[in-house]
Amino acid sequence: MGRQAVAVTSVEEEDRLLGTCSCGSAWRLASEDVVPISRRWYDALVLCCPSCGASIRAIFDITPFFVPHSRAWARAA
Amino acid sequence: MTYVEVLRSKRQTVLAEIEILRGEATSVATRISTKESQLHNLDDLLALEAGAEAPVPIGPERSQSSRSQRFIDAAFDVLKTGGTPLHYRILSERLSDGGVYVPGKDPAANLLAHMSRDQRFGRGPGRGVYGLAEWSSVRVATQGRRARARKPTSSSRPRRTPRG
Repeated sequence: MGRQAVAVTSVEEEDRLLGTCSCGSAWRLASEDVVPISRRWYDALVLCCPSCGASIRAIFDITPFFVPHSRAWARAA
Repeated sequence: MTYVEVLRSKRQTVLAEIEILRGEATSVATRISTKESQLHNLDDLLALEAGAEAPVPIGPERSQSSRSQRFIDAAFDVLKTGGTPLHYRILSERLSDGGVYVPGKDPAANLLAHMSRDQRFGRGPGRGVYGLAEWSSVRVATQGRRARARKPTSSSRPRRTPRG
């Protein structure tokens, strides 16, 4: 069974999903690739822990970053 | 200077060189691990581009398990074989002597952090002394402390500053 990339709406949401290293330190961004595939945008991240050397990778669907909120103008009016 | 003093001096020099090389090895191993993770990400993206299902699950995926598992398992084996609790710095030295690589700027502290989160280990009699949870003289760390330590925090990651 294939899995879909996790769709996120903000950088803060990505941070929340990634959390912190099991040693308690904050992750440090090591590499980032943002690519469009089949009309969707993907954010491929690699983060490493400066304390213990662990690393984590993730691919997020960041298409919602570029979709305007449908009610934004209505709220402003 | 006697030949014994010369040998001792040379020994100190070699020890210092080993420490420097260990530091470099840690840095290189971390960079290799990061590049391998990036390679996996790119493979997944290419698979998506080709319309195939992702070869591995997409989403947060930790790649640290195999490496950290190795040294924590080795620490477990050392304690099991010795049969007595050890100070974590002595345990770290024994691992190092046995050729087991423990990553981090301070490998002993890293070992301690992993042991305190592993159910198989517990605090022994004395400060910094750790043993196996199955031993009667050892107290197992409480679950509550682990849960707090893993609690994620907001703005934990400096963003958009890739470092190769």
